[in-house]
Amino acid sequence: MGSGTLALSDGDDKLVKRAKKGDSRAFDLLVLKYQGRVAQLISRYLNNAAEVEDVTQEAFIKAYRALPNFRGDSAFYTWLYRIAANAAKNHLVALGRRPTSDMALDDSEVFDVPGRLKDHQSPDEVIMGQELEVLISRTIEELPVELRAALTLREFEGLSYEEIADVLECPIGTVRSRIFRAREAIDVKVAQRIQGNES
Amino acid sequence: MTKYDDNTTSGSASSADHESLSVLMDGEANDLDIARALRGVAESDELRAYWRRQHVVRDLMAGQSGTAISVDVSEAVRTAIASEKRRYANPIISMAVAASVTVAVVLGGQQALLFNDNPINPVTAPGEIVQVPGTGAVQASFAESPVLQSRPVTARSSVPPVDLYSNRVSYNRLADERFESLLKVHNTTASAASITPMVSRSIDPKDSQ
Amino acid sequence: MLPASVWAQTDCDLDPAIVDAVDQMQRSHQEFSYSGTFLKESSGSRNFIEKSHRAGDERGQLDYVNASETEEPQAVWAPRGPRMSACELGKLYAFHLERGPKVAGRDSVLLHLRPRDGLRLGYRLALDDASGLILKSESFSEDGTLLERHEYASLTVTPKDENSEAEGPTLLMQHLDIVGLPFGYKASLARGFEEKALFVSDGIAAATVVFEPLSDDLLPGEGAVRHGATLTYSRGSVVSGTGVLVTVIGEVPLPAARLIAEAVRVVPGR
Repeated sequence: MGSGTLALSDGDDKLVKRAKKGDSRAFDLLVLKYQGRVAQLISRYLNNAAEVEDVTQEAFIKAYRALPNFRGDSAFYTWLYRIAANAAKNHLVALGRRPTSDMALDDSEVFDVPGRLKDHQSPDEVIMGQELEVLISRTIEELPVELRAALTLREFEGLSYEEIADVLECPIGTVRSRIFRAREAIDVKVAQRIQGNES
Repeated sequence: MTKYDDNTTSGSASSADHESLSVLMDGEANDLDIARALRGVAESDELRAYWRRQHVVRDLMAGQSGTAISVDVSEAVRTAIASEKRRYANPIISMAVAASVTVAVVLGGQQALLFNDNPINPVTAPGEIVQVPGTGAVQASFAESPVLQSRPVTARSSVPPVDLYSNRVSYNRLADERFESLLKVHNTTASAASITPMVSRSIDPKDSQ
Repeated sequence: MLPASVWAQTDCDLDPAIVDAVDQMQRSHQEFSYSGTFLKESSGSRNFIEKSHRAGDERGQLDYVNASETEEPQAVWAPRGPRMSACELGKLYAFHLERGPKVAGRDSVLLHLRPRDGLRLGYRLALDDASGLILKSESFSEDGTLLERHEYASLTVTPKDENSEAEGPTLLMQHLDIVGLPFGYKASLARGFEEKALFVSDGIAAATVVFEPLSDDLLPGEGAVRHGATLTYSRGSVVSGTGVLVTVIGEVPLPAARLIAEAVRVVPGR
């Protein structure tokens, strides 16, 4: 599938700037955006689901407190992941379990390599993930071609709205609207599936 | 007209909110989008859930199938942050130094000058507030934010009515700021004790860039 | 902590084993080199820190294993005050000594220091049998709450090289004559900050005192916060029209910090 990295940091700058000024709503959006990936990273160190959640929470609180010191020299998520990795290591140490050397991660490893065994996930989560992937693929395929094109160029090619407008030869406003409606269509299906699982 | 027709208007307010979040995801939000997005998520659980779902979808589309879909710590983090903010109910009092002030401490013939001519850096991790007894009117709990009266500016010679609560909050904050800036100094000076029970006088590293 | 009946007597009626333990603990940094990793727990945060020290050196090194950025190793000063005898300390703390647990794989003795008044904290120290180094230290508040814990997870200790230089001079402490300090505490100019800060200690409890101008828009008052075992107490007062902010930072209980802040006489410069 897609590159992952191109889309990841989009929009962070504006949110981080506001969060640094004390807007906790902006920080809330960052938490909601990254908590899945942060929890994934932490679960490479810790097996217990409750512990993973605790340490994930702790990592975000530490990040919030350290925000005044974040200078933007690296991407926000890189900085956040370092904090999370350290929180996980500290947690292990405090429990008397030393992190093994093969757990040392550098930035390039925090992104999943396709095909890698994800043995830190619970069976339920693995199944849910697989089902959602299928659901998303199918929904995209069923989209009208102009919506599918806009979404694909954004998510898989990482093009900006302006670049997509160039490629599709339409106004930027139309690009914005098409991508949004493509996402709405996917969201309807995904929400049903997730909420069905949670009820 | 199909539901995907380009001519369809954005419709309800919540649809506009969703669209602002969609644009924000792509880093293409203008100021209006951001304002709408922030206001929306503060007021609507549904919008927060939408944003969260969109990122799960994005992660899956990007091949990040290991992303922890069911973990949601946002509520707990929000609560923790809100309670940290309430600790200091007063805005920071700036410590502008009057250059002409010189205070000399006279002790056995020695004279010591002021420690610090420079502003102290703000706090990043608040300490636990210690109840200082003997002031009567000070509230026991700092969790609430009562209405604070503004402090009258008076000449030093008079004794103005003191808003004890806000004054205490200010001093707690000052103390916390000094902890941040003086701990390293203290760890150095305290090595002059004959026995240092602390296994090692160390300073916690900040989780910073 | 332990019931009163097991506490040792004072006035040099002390158990020789306690006298030895206290003495050995004070000499340990001069006589042994060591390096290891310890866990520091304080105010709910945990940090994993590597430390090394060479016998007799004034400074050792600290390395933060868990820092999220590459932190430079820090130089830290080794304890180097004038030796205090167990008898002198015994006036301020009640001692108890017993067999200790293994810490970092090493045999230890557990030395309890229970404060005789509310003006200092309590401690429980695991001292290395072989060297007297503090392998684990726990500090307790007046009501017995654990404030901070440092514990070595691993430690290598080597005796000082026979042929190495004679140990450096012990720090000379010129005590300043200040009336009103809490019982047992003495003040001196602060090591490393002689012109800017005071150091107040009873030999174990340590506090640093600094002075700043008091902002015009701040009325006299006081406030305090605690991080782990370290209390920071700030007090603003006005003396002859000049506003002064006194801050006492150290491992002392609040009543002691307040007494220290009050005892320092502040007069306008002449």
